[in-house]
Amino acid sequence: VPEKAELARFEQVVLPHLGAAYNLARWITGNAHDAEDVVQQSYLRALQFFGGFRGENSRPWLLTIVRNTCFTWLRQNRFSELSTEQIHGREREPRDPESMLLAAAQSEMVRKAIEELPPEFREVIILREMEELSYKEIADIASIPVGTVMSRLARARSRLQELLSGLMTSGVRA
Amino acid sequence: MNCRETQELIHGFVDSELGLVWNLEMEHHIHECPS
Repeated sequence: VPEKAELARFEQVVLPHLGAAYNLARWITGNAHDAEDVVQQSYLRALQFFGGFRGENSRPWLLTIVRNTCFTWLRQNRFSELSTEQIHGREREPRDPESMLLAAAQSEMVRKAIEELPPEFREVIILREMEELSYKEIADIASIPVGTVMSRLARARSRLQELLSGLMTSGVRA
Repeated sequence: MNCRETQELIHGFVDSELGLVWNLEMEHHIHECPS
């Protein structure tokens, strides 16, 4: 059991990244409920190993734990059975109803496209575009070389573009 | 630097992740490349 001072430091250093942890878990698992479970497991692991944490930036350290917990979860729960539950956006409110509808449709389209990406592509997109991590931080989290981050991100963006084109075309036809 | 290398590095360039030397190489190629 961690000491009181250790718990206080944990709360101060790791708890502020709960939102980022949930966001990553939500996108990798594709399911809000499972993301909550994964984040809970991740925080327990983080607390368990917090004594060994000596770095200054706890966010990549925590996201590495979340990422590994997510992929363990994916291996155990068959990725193909993931649901496509909708998440709530955090975009600024558009001014008029027409642009609100358009923004909602675009947001939904991007969400669908990201969910269709393979997990390793989805992971780098989320870490880069949503969590705004550097290539080095992503490389550390995913345990891959920086060059692989760059090529994976390039392929993920290209795939995302194809998916969005497909969704837009089918949207226009519908 | 040739066009193929530029293609490989373009995402790192756009994301400002290449570092000074590669950035300058990329900028040079982008300005000078006829294609």
